[in-house]
Amino acid sequence: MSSGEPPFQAAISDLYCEHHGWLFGWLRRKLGCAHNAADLAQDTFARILNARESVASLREPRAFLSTTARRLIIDQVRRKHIENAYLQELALTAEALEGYQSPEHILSTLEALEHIAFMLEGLHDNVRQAFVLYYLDGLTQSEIARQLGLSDRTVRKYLIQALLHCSHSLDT
Amino acid sequence: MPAPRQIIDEQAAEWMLRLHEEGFSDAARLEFECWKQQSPQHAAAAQRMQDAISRLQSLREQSAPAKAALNAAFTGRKPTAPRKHILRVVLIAACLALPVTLTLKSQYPERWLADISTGPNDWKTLHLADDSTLTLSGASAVNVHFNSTERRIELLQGEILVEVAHDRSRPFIVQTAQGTMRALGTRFVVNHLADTTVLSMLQSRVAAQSANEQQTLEVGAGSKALISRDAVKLSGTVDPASINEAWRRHQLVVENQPLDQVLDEIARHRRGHLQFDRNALADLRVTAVLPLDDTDRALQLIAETLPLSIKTYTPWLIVISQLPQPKK
Repeated sequence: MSSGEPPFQAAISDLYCEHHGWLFGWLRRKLGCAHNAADLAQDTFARILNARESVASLREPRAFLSTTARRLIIDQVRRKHIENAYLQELALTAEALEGYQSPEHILSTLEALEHIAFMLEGLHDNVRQAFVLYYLDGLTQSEIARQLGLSDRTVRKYLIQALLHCSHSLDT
Repeated sequence: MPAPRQIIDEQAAEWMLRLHEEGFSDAARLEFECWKQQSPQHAAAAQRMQDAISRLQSLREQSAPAKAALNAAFTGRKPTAPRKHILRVVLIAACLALPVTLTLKSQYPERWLADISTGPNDWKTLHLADDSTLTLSGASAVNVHFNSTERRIELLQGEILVEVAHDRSRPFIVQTAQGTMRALGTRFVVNHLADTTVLSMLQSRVAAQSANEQQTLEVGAGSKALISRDAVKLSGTVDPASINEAWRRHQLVVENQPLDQVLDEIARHRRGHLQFDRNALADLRVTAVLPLDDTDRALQLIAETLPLSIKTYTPWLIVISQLPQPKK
Protein backbone atom coordinates (compact mmCIF):
# COMPACT_ATOMS: atom_id res chain seq x y z
CA MET A 1 0.00 0.00 0.00
CA SER A 2 1.56 3.26 -1.03
CA SER A 3 1.29 6.16 1.34
CA GLY A 4 -0.51 8.35 -1.19
CA GLU A 5 -3.34 5.87 -1.65
CA PRO A 6 -6.69 7.15 -0.40
CA PRO A 7 -7.97 5.18 2.63
CA PHE A 8 -11.06 3.78 0.90
CA GLN A 9 -8.96 2.48 -1.97
CA ALA A 10 -6.49 0.96 0.46
CA ALA A 11 -9.28 -0.74 2.40
CA ILE A 12 -10.78 -2.14 -0.78
CA SER A 13 -7.49 -3.41 -2.02
CA ASP A 14 -6.82 -5.08 1.33
CA LEU A 15 -10.25 -6.68 1.19
CA TYR A 16 -9.58 -7.80 -2.35
CA CYS A 17 -6.16 -9.26 -1.62
CA GLU A 18 -7.25 -11.11 1.46
CA HIS A 19 -10.65 -12.41 0.45
CA HIS A 20 -11.03 -12.45 -3.32
CA GLY A 21 -9.58 -15.94 -3.49
CA TRP A 22 -11.95 -17.18 -0.85
CA LEU A 23 -14.98 -15.51 -2.50
CA PHE A 24 -14.10 -17.00 -5.87
CA GLY A 25 -13.70 -20.49 -4.38
CA TRP A 26 -16.92 -20.19 -2.44
CA LEU A 27 -18.88 -19.03 -5.48
CA ARG A 28 -17.32 -21.59 -7.76
CA ARG A 29 -18.44 -24.39 -5.53
CA LYS A 30 -21.84 -22.81 -5.13
CA LEU A 31 -22.48 -22.14 -8.81
CA GLY A 32 -20.55 -25.12 -10.15
CA CYS A 33 -19.00 -22.92 -12.83
CA ALA A 34 -15.64 -21.19 -12.64
CA HIS A 35 -16.57 -18.64 -15.32
CA ASN A 36 -19.67 -17.44 -13.58
CA ALA A 37 -17.91 -17.48 -10.23
CA ALA A 38 -15.09 -15.31 -11.56
CA ASP A 39 -17.55 -12.87 -13.10
CA LEU A 40 -19.63 -12.72 -9.96
CA ALA A 41 -16.63 -12.25 -7.68
CA GLN A 42 -15.56 -9.36 -9.88
CA ASP A 43 -19.09 -7.91 -9.89
CA THR A 44 -19.17 -8.17 -6.12
CA PHE A 45 -16.09 -6.02 -5.72
CA ALA A 46 -17.34 -3.64 -8.40
CA ARG A 47 -20.55 -3.19 -6.47
CA ILE A 48 -18.69 -2.53 -3.23
CA LEU A 49 -16.50 0.00 -5.04
CA ASN A 50 -19.54 1.76 -6.44
CA ALA A 51 -21.50 1.69 -3.21
CA ARG A 52 -18.56 3.33 -1.46
CA GLU A 53 -19.61 1.91 1.86
CA SER A 54 -16.93 1.94 4.47
CA VAL A 55 -15.05 -1.33 4.38
CA ALA A 56 -12.14 -0.34 6.56
CA SER A 57 -13.29 -1.96 9.79
CA LEU A 58 -15.43 -4.89 8.73
CA ARG A 59 -15.72 -7.37 11.52
CA GLU A 60 -16.82 -10.18 9.27
CA PRO A 61 -15.51 -9.43 5.81
CA ARG A 62 -16.56 -12.78 4.40
CA ALA A 63 -20.14 -12.41 5.55
CA PHE A 64 -20.13 -8.95 4.02
CA LEU A 65 -18.82 -10.26 0.70
CA SER A 66 -21.23 -13.18 0.57
CA THR A 67 -24.17 -10.90 1.35
CA THR A 68 -23.12 -8.59 -1.44
CA ALA A 69 -22.81 -11.55 -3.80
CA ARG A 70 -26.24 -12.77 -2.68
CA ARG A 71 -27.77 -9.43 -3.58
CA LEU A 72 -26.27 -9.80 -7.02
CA ILE A 73 -27.56 -13.32 -7.56
CA ILE A 74 -31.01 -12.63 -6.17
CA ASP A 75 -31.22 -9.28 -7.86
CA GLN A 76 -34.08 -6.80 -7.92
CA VAL A 77 -35.86 -8.53 -10.77
CA ARG A 78 -35.90 -11.84 -8.95
CA ARG A 79 -36.90 -10.23 -5.68
CA LYS A 80 -39.83 -8.70 -7.53
CA HIS A 81 -40.80 -12.12 -8.95
CA ILE A 82 -40.63 -13.64 -5.49
CA GLU A 83 -42.70 -10.85 -3.99
CA ASN A 84 -45.38 -10.91 -6.68
CA ALA A 85 -45.83 -14.67 -6.61
CA TYR A 86 -45.93 -14.73 -2.83
CA LEU A 87 -48.49 -11.94 -2.53
CA GLN A 88 -50.69 -13.38 -5.26
CA GLU A 89 -50.80 -16.78 -3.66
CA LEU A 90 -51.22 -15.25 -0.23
CA ALA A 91 -54.34 -13.41 -1.43
CA LEU A 92 -55.79 -16.73 -2.63
CA THR A 93 -55.20 -18.48 0.67
CA ALA A 94 -55.85 -15.45 2.85
CA GLU A 95 -58.56 -17.02 4.96
CA ALA A 96 -56.44 -20.00 5.87
CA LEU A 97 -53.58 -17.76 6.84
CA GLU A 98 -55.00 -15.51 9.51
CA GLY A 99 -52.15 -13.68 11.18
CA TYR A 100 -49.72 -13.95 8.27
CA GLN A 101 -50.73 -10.72 6.65
CA SER A 102 -49.29 -7.91 8.70
CA PRO A 103 -46.82 -5.83 6.68
CA GLU A 104 -44.00 -6.72 9.10
CA HIS A 105 -44.68 -10.39 8.74
CA ILE A 106 -44.87 -10.22 4.97
CA LEU A 107 -41.61 -8.34 4.87
CA SER A 108 -39.79 -10.83 7.06
CA THR A 109 -41.18 -13.74 5.05
CA LEU A 110 -40.01 -12.15 1.81
CA GLU A 111 -36.57 -11.72 3.30
CA ALA A 112 -36.52 -15.35 4.39
CA LEU A 113 -37.59 -16.43 0.91
CA GLU A 114 -34.81 -14.38 -0.63
CA HIS A 115 -32.28 -16.15 1.59
CA ILE A 116 -33.71 -19.53 0.71
CA ALA A 117 -33.65 -18.72 -3.00
CA PHE A 118 -29.98 -17.85 -2.69
CA MET A 119 -29.29 -21.00 -0.72
CA LEU A 120 -30.96 -23.08 -3.44
CA GLU A 121 -29.25 -21.24 -6.29
CA GLY A 122 -27.00 -23.60 -8.24
CA LEU A 123 -29.05 -26.76 -7.58
CA HIS A 124 -30.55 -28.72 -10.44
CA ASP A 125 -34.33 -28.35 -10.83
CA ASN A 126 -35.24 -31.82 -9.61
CA VAL A 127 -32.85 -31.68 -6.68
CA ARG A 128 -34.26 -28.35 -5.59
CA GLN A 129 -37.85 -29.51 -5.95
CA ALA A 130 -37.25 -32.69 -3.98
CA PHE A 131 -35.67 -30.67 -1.19
CA VAL A 132 -38.55 -28.16 -1.07
CA LEU A 133 -41.19 -30.87 -1.16
CA TYR A 134 -39.49 -32.75 1.66
CA TYR A 135 -38.84 -29.93 4.11
CA LEU A 136 -41.41 -27.28 3.17
CA ASP A 137 -44.38 -29.43 2.14
CA GLY A 138 -43.47 -32.31 4.42
CA LEU A 139 -44.00 -35.02 1.80
CA THR A 140 -42.39 -38.42 2.28
CA GLN A 141 -39.57 -39.57 0.06
CA SER A 142 -41.79 -42.02 -1.83
CA GLU A 143 -44.47 -39.35 -2.38
CA ILE A 144 -41.78 -37.12 -3.84
CA ALA A 145 -40.49 -39.99 -5.98
CA ARG A 146 -43.97 -40.49 -7.45
CA GLN A 147 -44.54 -36.79 -8.00
CA LEU A 148 -41.24 -36.24 -9.77
CA GLY A 149 -41.18 -39.61 -11.52
CA LEU A 150 -37.96 -40.71 -9.83
CA SER A 151 -36.87 -43.75 -7.85
CA ASP A 152 -36.89 -43.58 -4.04
CA ARG A 153 -33.14 -44.07 -4.06
CA THR A 154 -32.63 -41.09 -6.38
CA VAL A 155 -34.80 -38.88 -4.20
CA ARG A 156 -32.70 -39.73 -1.17
CA LYS A 157 -29.51 -39.07 -3.11
CA TYR A 158 -30.91 -35.70 -4.20
CA LEU A 159 -31.79 -34.76 -0.64
CA ILE A 160 -28.22 -35.45 0.47
CA GLN A 161 -26.92 -33.36 -2.43
CA ALA A 162 -29.23 -30.50 -1.53
CA LEU A 163 -28.21 -30.57 2.13
CA LEU A 164 -24.53 -30.43 1.20
CA HIS A 165 -25.16 -27.57 -1.20
CA CYS A 166 -27.21 -25.51 1.24
CA SER A 167 -24.77 -26.08 4.06
CA HIS A 168 -21.97 -24.81 1.83
CA SER A 169 -24.02 -21.71 0.98
CA LEU A 170 -24.43 -20.93 4.64
CA ASP A 171 -20.75 -21.42 5.37
CA THR A 172 -19.26 -17.93 5.29
CA MET B 1 -6.20 -37.30 12.36
CA PRO B 2 -9.30 -35.19 11.90
CA ALA B 3 -11.74 -36.37 9.24
CA PRO B 4 -11.68 -34.28 6.06
CA ARG B 5 -14.32 -31.61 5.76
CA GLN B 6 -16.18 -33.28 2.90
CA ILE B 7 -16.60 -36.50 4.84
CA ILE B 8 -17.92 -34.72 7.91
CA ASP B 9 -20.45 -32.86 5.76
CA GLU B 10 -21.62 -36.06 4.09
CA GLN B 11 -22.06 -37.77 7.43
CA ALA B 12 -23.98 -34.78 8.77
CA ALA B 13 -26.34 -34.85 5.76
CA GLU B 14 -26.82 -38.57 6.25
CA TRP B 15 -27.70 -37.91 9.88
CA MET B 16 -30.30 -35.30 8.96
CA LEU B 17 -32.13 -37.77 6.77
CA ARG B 18 -31.80 -40.63 9.20
CA LEU B 19 -33.24 -38.61 12.09
CA HIS B 20 -36.14 -37.62 9.92
CA GLU B 21 -36.72 -41.14 8.64
CA GLU B 22 -36.60 -42.67 12.11
CA GLY B 23 -39.08 -40.15 13.44
CA PHE B 24 -36.50 -38.56 15.76
CA SER B 25 -36.49 -41.56 18.04
CA ASP B 26 -34.59 -41.26 21.31
CA ALA B 27 -32.09 -43.86 20.22
CA ALA B 28 -31.30 -42.04 17.00
CA ARG B 29 -30.99 -38.71 18.77
CA LEU B 30 -28.60 -40.06 21.35
CA GLU B 31 -26.39 -41.55 18.71
CA PHE B 32 -26.45 -38.28 16.77
CA GLU B 33 -25.37 -36.34 19.89
CA CYS B 34 -22.40 -38.65 20.23
CA TRP B 35 -21.47 -38.11 16.60
CA LYS B 36 -21.60 -34.33 17.07
CA GLN B 37 -19.33 -34.51 20.12
CA GLN B 38 -16.43 -35.78 18.05
CA SER B 39 -15.14 -32.34 17.14
CA PRO B 40 -16.24 -28.72 16.74
CA GLN B 41 -16.23 -29.33 12.99
CA HIS B 42 -18.79 -32.11 13.39
CA ALA B 43 -21.02 -29.88 15.50
CA ALA B 44 -20.67 -26.95 13.09
CA ALA B 45 -21.54 -29.11 10.07
CA ALA B 46 -24.66 -30.39 11.82
CA GLN B 47 -25.60 -26.85 12.79
CA ARG B 48 -25.38 -25.57 9.21
CA MET B 49 -27.61 -28.36 7.90
CA GLN B 50 -30.14 -27.78 10.62
CA ASP B 51 -30.12 -24.06 9.76
CA ALA B 52 -30.82 -24.82 6.12
CA ILE B 53 -33.66 -27.16 7.00
CA SER B 54 -35.26 -24.85 9.53
CA ARG B 55 -35.26 -21.98 7.05
CA LEU B 56 -37.65 -24.03 4.93
CA GLN B 57 -39.58 -25.52 7.79
CA SER B 58 -40.26 -22.12 9.31
CA LEU B 59 -42.44 -21.35 6.28
CA ARG B 60 -44.50 -24.53 6.54
CA GLU B 61 -47.56 -22.72 7.81
CA GLN B 62 -47.68 -20.81 4.58
CA SER B 63 -46.18 -23.43 2.31
CA ALA B 64 -48.41 -22.62 -0.67
CA PRO B 65 -47.41 -18.96 -1.08
CA ALA B 66 -43.80 -19.77 -0.13
CA LYS B 67 -43.59 -22.46 -2.77
CA ALA B 68 -45.17 -20.21 -5.37
CA ALA B 69 -42.54 -17.59 -4.54
CA LEU B 70 -39.65 -20.05 -4.81
CA ASN B 71 -40.96 -21.41 -8.09
CA ALA B 72 -41.15 -17.87 -9.38
CA ALA B 73 -37.57 -17.27 -8.30
CA PHE B 74 -36.37 -20.14 -10.46
CA THR B 75 -38.74 -20.26 -13.43
CA GLY B 76 -37.41 -19.06 -16.70
CA ARG B 77 -33.92 -19.24 -15.28
CA LYS B 78 -31.44 -21.27 -17.21
CA PRO B 79 -27.82 -21.44 -16.19
CA THR B 80 -26.29 -18.12 -17.08
CA ALA B 81 -23.21 -19.60 -18.68
CA PRO B 82 -24.28 -19.59 -22.35
CA ARG B 83 -25.35 -15.95 -22.22
CA LYS B 84 -22.12 -14.94 -20.57
CA HIS B 85 -20.06 -16.80 -23.08
CA ILE B 86 -21.81 -15.13 -25.94
CA LEU B 87 -21.11 -11.83 -24.26
CA ARG B 88 -17.44 -12.70 -23.99
CA VAL B 89 -17.28 -13.62 -27.64
CA VAL B 90 -18.96 -10.37 -28.60
CA LEU B 91 -16.56 -8.44 -26.40
CA ILE B 92 -13.55 -10.08 -27.92
CA ALA B 93 -14.95 -9.50 -31.38
CA ALA B 94 -15.56 -5.89 -30.48
CA CYS B 95 -11.98 -5.51 -29.31
CA LEU B 96 -10.73 -6.88 -32.58
CA ALA B 97 -13.08 -4.79 -34.66
CA LEU B 98 -12.35 -1.57 -32.84
CA PRO B 99 -9.00 -0.67 -34.40
CA VAL B 100 -10.48 -1.16 -37.84
CA THR B 101 -13.46 1.10 -37.25
CA LEU B 102 -11.35 3.66 -35.46
CA THR B 103 -8.91 3.81 -38.31
CA LEU B 104 -11.76 4.28 -40.73
CA LYS B 105 -13.29 6.99 -38.60
CA SER B 106 -10.11 8.88 -37.88
CA GLN B 107 -8.52 11.49 -40.06
CA TYR B 108 -5.91 9.08 -41.31
CA PRO B 109 -7.25 9.09 -44.86
CA GLU B 110 -6.42 12.77 -44.91
CA ARG B 111 -2.88 11.95 -43.98
CA TRP B 112 -2.54 9.48 -46.81
CA LEU B 113 -3.30 12.20 -49.32
CA ALA B 114 -1.00 14.82 -47.78
CA ASP B 115 2.34 15.94 -49.24
CA ILE B 116 4.23 15.17 -46.05
CA SER B 117 2.99 13.12 -43.12
CA THR B 118 4.11 11.17 -40.09
CA GLY B 119 2.65 8.11 -38.40
CA PRO B 120 2.07 7.83 -34.68
CA ASN B 121 5.36 7.80 -32.80
CA ASP B 122 7.13 9.09 -35.88
CA TRP B 123 8.87 12.46 -36.17
CA LYS B 124 10.17 14.11 -39.31
CA THR B 125 12.33 17.17 -39.95
CA LEU B 126 12.51 18.67 -43.44
CA HIS B 127 14.57 21.41 -44.97
CA LEU B 128 12.40 23.29 -47.39
CA ALA B 129 13.55 24.87 -50.64
CA ASP B 130 13.72 28.37 -49.09
CA ASP B 131 15.97 27.09 -46.26
CA SER B 132 13.14 27.02 -43.71
CA THR B 133 12.88 23.99 -41.45
CA LEU B 134 9.71 22.10 -40.78
CA THR B 135 9.38 19.44 -38.06
CA LEU B 136 6.30 17.23 -37.81
CA SER B 137 5.50 15.43 -34.59
CA GLY B 138 3.48 12.17 -34.47
CA ALA B 139 0.44 11.61 -36.71
CA SER B 140 0.74 14.96 -38.41
CA ALA B 141 0.21 15.97 -42.02
CA VAL B 142 0.91 19.02 -44.14
CA ASN B 143 0.64 20.16 -47.72
CA VAL B 144 3.34 22.49 -49.01
CA HIS B 145 2.43 25.22 -51.52
CA PHE B 146 5.42 27.37 -52.49
CA ASN B 147 5.29 29.87 -55.36
CA SER B 148 6.88 33.18 -56.29
CA THR B 149 4.58 35.30 -54.09
CA GLU B 150 4.12 33.20 -50.94
CA ARG B 151 5.22 30.17 -48.98
CA ARG B 152 2.15 28.41 -47.64
CA ILE B 153 2.04 25.38 -45.37
CA GLU B 154 -1.35 23.76 -44.96
CA LEU B 155 -1.50 21.95 -41.62
CA LEU B 156 -4.11 19.20 -42.03
CA GLN B 157 -3.64 17.54 -38.67
CA GLY B 158 -1.23 17.26 -35.79
CA GLU B 159 1.52 19.62 -34.76
CA ILE B 160 4.47 21.29 -36.46
CA LEU B 161 7.45 23.35 -35.45
CA VAL B 162 8.51 25.83 -38.11
CA GLU B 163 11.69 27.79 -38.36
CA VAL B 164 11.10 30.35 -41.05
CA ALA B 165 14.02 31.54 -43.13
CA HIS B 166 13.96 35.24 -43.88
CA ASP B 167 12.48 36.19 -47.21
CA ARG B 168 11.14 39.72 -47.44
CA SER B 169 9.44 39.13 -50.76
CA ARG B 170 7.52 35.96 -49.85
CA PRO B 171 5.58 35.74 -46.61
CA PHE B 172 5.51 32.40 -44.87
CA ILE B 173 1.95 31.32 -44.01
CA VAL B 174 0.76 28.40 -41.94
CA GLN B 175 -2.89 27.66 -42.59
CA THR B 176 -5.34 25.47 -40.66
CA ALA B 177 -9.10 25.08 -40.81
CA GLN B 178 -9.35 27.70 -38.07
CA GLY B 179 -7.11 30.43 -39.40
CA THR B 180 -3.74 31.57 -40.74
CA MET B 181 -0.40 32.59 -39.22
CA ARG B 182 1.72 34.87 -41.27
CA ALA B 183 5.40 35.56 -40.70
CA LEU B 184 8.46 36.88 -42.38
CA GLY B 185 11.13 35.16 -40.37
CA THR B 186 10.53 33.45 -37.07
CA ARG B 187 10.20 30.23 -35.13
CA PHE B 188 6.94 28.87 -33.77
CA VAL B 189 4.83 25.78 -33.09
CA VAL B 190 1.36 25.19 -34.49
CA ASN B 191 -0.91 22.50 -33.12
CA HIS B 192 -4.07 21.66 -35.02
CA LEU B 193 -6.70 20.38 -32.54
CA ALA B 194 -10.26 19.38 -33.30
CA ASP B 195 -11.75 22.87 -33.27
CA THR B 196 -8.85 25.08 -32.26
CA THR B 197 -5.38 25.83 -33.49
CA VAL B 198 -2.82 26.54 -30.80
CA LEU B 199 0.06 28.82 -31.73
CA SER B 200 3.14 28.95 -29.48
CA MET B 201 5.62 31.67 -30.39
CA LEU B 202 9.27 30.92 -29.72
CA GLN B 203 10.92 33.82 -31.49
CA SER B 204 9.94 37.10 -33.10
CA ARG B 205 6.28 37.48 -34.05
CA VAL B 206 3.52 36.42 -36.44
CA ALA B 207 0.16 37.83 -37.45
CA ALA B 208 -2.57 35.32 -36.64
CA GLN B 209 -5.94 35.59 -38.33
CA SER B 210 -9.18 33.70 -37.83
CA ALA B 211 -10.56 31.77 -40.80
CA ASN B 212 -13.47 34.17 -41.25
CA GLU B 213 -10.87 36.99 -41.48
CA GLN B 214 -12.68 38.99 -38.82
CA GLN B 215 -9.90 38.98 -36.24
CA THR B 216 -6.19 39.45 -36.51
CA LEU B 217 -3.71 39.51 -33.69
CA GLU B 218 0.01 39.97 -33.52
CA VAL B 219 1.52 37.32 -31.31
CA GLY B 220 5.02 37.81 -29.94
CA ALA B 221 7.69 35.47 -28.57
CA GLY B 222 6.74 33.70 -25.36
CA SER B 223 3.01 34.03 -26.02
CA LYS B 224 0.41 31.44 -26.78
CA ALA B 225 -2.67 32.12 -28.89
CA LEU B 226 -5.81 30.12 -29.57
CA ILE B 227 -7.23 30.46 -33.04
CA SER B 228 -10.76 29.42 -33.87
CA ARG B 229 -12.79 30.03 -37.01
CA ASP B 230 -14.08 33.36 -35.76
CA ALA B 231 -11.66 34.53 -33.10
CA VAL B 232 -8.01 34.83 -32.09
CA LYS B 233 -7.09 35.29 -28.49
CA LEU B 234 -4.02 35.16 -26.32
CA SER B 235 -3.92 32.34 -23.82
CA GLY B 236 -1.07 32.57 -21.36
CA THR B 237 2.62 32.30 -21.95
CA VAL B 238 5.08 29.65 -23.04
CA ASP B 239 8.70 29.09 -22.21
CA PRO B 240 10.49 29.00 -25.60
CA ALA B 241 13.54 27.24 -24.15
CA SER B 242 11.55 24.34 -22.74
CA ILE B 243 9.52 23.99 -25.93
CA ASN B 244 12.70 23.90 -28.00
CA GLU B 245 14.04 21.25 -25.69
CA ALA B 246 10.78 19.32 -25.78
CA TRP B 247 10.81 19.20 -29.56
CA ARG B 248 14.41 18.13 -29.58
CA ARG B 249 13.70 15.32 -27.13
CA HIS B 250 10.22 14.44 -28.35
CA GLN B 251 8.49 15.47 -25.18
CA LEU B 252 5.11 16.89 -24.38
CA VAL B 253 5.36 19.78 -21.95
CA VAL B 254 2.07 20.67 -20.29
CA GLU B 255 1.35 23.09 -17.53
CA ASN B 256 -1.97 22.95 -15.73
CA GLN B 257 -3.67 21.59 -18.83
CA PRO B 258 -6.99 19.69 -18.78
CA LEU B 259 -6.37 15.95 -18.76
CA ASP B 260 -8.59 15.24 -21.74
CA GLN B 261 -6.47 17.52 -23.93
CA VAL B 262 -3.29 15.88 -22.73
CA LEU B 263 -4.73 12.44 -23.49
CA ASP B 264 -5.69 13.65 -26.97
CA GLU B 265 -2.07 14.63 -27.53
CA ILE B 266 -0.79 11.30 -26.27
CA ALA B 267 -3.36 9.46 -28.36
CA ARG B 268 -2.02 11.15 -31.46
CA HIS B 269 1.37 9.69 -30.78
CA ARG B 270 0.34 6.09 -30.49
CA ARG B 271 -1.21 3.43 -32.61
CA GLY B 272 -4.44 2.06 -31.22
CA HIS B 273 -7.06 3.85 -29.28
CA LEU B 274 -7.25 5.58 -25.92
CA GLN B 275 -10.77 5.33 -24.58
CA PHE B 276 -11.88 7.82 -21.95
CA ASP B 277 -14.90 9.82 -20.88
CA ARG B 278 -14.05 13.39 -21.79
CA ASN B 279 -16.53 14.96 -19.37
CA ALA B 280 -15.54 12.78 -16.45
CA LEU B 281 -11.87 13.67 -16.79
CA ALA B 282 -12.17 17.33 -17.75
CA ASP B 283 -11.79 18.49 -14.16
CA LEU B 284 -8.38 16.90 -13.76
CA ARG B 285 -5.37 18.97 -14.71
CA VAL B 286 -1.87 17.94 -15.56
CA THR B 287 1.49 19.59 -15.23
CA ALA B 288 4.21 17.36 -16.60
CA VAL B 289 6.93 16.65 -19.11
CA LEU B 290 5.92 13.47 -20.88
CA PRO B 291 7.90 11.29 -23.26
CA LEU B 292 6.05 11.06 -26.57
CA ASP B 293 8.31 8.34 -27.90
CA ASP B 294 7.08 6.08 -25.08
CA THR B 295 3.39 6.79 -24.61
CA ASP B 296 2.89 3.83 -22.25
CA ARG B 297 5.38 5.46 -19.93
CA ALA B 298 3.67 8.83 -20.42
CA LEU B 299 0.33 7.37 -19.33
CA GLN B 300 1.97 5.70 -16.38
CA LEU B 301 3.50 9.02 -15.30
CA ILE B 302 0.10 10.71 -15.42
CA ALA B 303 -1.50 7.89 -13.45
CA GLU B 304 1.12 8.28 -10.74
CA THR B 305 -0.13 11.74 -9.89
CA LEU B 306 -3.85 11.47 -10.65
CA PRO B 307 -6.46 8.99 -9.40
CA LEU B 308 -6.76 7.12 -12.68
CA SER B 309 -7.28 3.54 -13.65
CA ILE B 310 -5.54 2.49 -16.85
CA LYS B 311 -6.62 -0.83 -18.29
CA THR B 312 -4.84 -2.29 -21.28
CA TYR B 313 -7.08 -4.67 -23.20
CA THR B 314 -4.91 -5.09 -26.23
CA PRO B 315 -2.07 -2.88 -27.48
CA TRP B 316 -4.85 -1.37 -29.56
CA LEU B 317 -7.20 -0.44 -26.79
CA ILE B 318 -6.48 1.28 -23.50
CA VAL B 319 -9.34 2.40 -21.30
CA ILE B 320 -8.71 5.24 -18.87
CA SER B 321 -11.16 6.12 -16.16
CA GLN B 322 -11.15 8.07 -12.95
CA LEU B 323 -10.98 6.09 -9.76
CA PRO B 324 -13.81 6.98 -7.41
CA GLN B 325 -12.91 9.53 -4.77
CA PRO B 326 -12.60 8.20 -1.24
CA LYS B 327 -15.53 8.98 1.01
CA LYS B 328 -14.88 11.95 3.20
